Amino acid sequence: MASRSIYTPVGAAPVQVYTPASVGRPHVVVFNAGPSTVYVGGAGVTASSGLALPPQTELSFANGVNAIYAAAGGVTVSGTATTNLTAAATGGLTSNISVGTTANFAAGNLVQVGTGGTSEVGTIASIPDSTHLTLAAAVVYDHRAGAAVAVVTGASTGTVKTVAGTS
Amino acid sequence: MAVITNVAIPVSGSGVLLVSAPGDVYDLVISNNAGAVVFLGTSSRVSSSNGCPIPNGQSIKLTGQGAGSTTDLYVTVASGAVSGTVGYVLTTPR
Repeated sequence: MASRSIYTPVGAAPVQVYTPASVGRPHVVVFNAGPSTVYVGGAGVTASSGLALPPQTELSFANGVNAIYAAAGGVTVSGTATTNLTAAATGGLTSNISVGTTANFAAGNLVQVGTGGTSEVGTIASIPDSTHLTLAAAVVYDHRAGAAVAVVTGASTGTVKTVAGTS
Repeated sequence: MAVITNVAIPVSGSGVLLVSAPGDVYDLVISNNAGAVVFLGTSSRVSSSNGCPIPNGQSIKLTGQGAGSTTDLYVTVASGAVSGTVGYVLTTPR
């Protein structure tokens, strides 16, 4: 059966690069067609946790039954648009996060929540008041009160090519 | 001539070290025989949220220039009540 190629731009926030077919036995090759390493995994993939895929490298799934996401690394954050959670955020549940201040944040900004292996990048959908940021989607990880929140000022960008089909 | 390493690692639970910094390899094939889906990543905190899923009984193959990773690779098993192995075959330059 014919395969289908798709090119997907990849940035700091995870983006779905492959959706398994609903019929047949799906297979997929994920190829890093960009200039920098991208990180492959689930919906919460980050540069610190995902499977590194260097440029011109490919990852083959003979039975690709799961959705695949990718994110670029090299995230840098603002030194001024920064705050902390004032209440814990629950993975998979909390999209309206409580913060100390929303000064210097704006709707549409990418923000990094947390640090280390469970840091994640999301998009500010709206700012309902001076102590809350509403993200476009719920956070993936649990974050304790006090966790850092900062606007992403830079990140690597890349392109992932997927070639998918069924047999 | 390339050097081939073929290893099977018993796995259960989360954050099991699979292979230490495979680095400069030609090919890396990881086969899941754990009895449940496993998630592959570069952090011991790899999870179903951030890891690369490998269904039970399936394998993935990493190929290309500089394939591999400069950091360790870890797996987390979706279900803790399994007792199987995750194997890998890596081909390195001699």
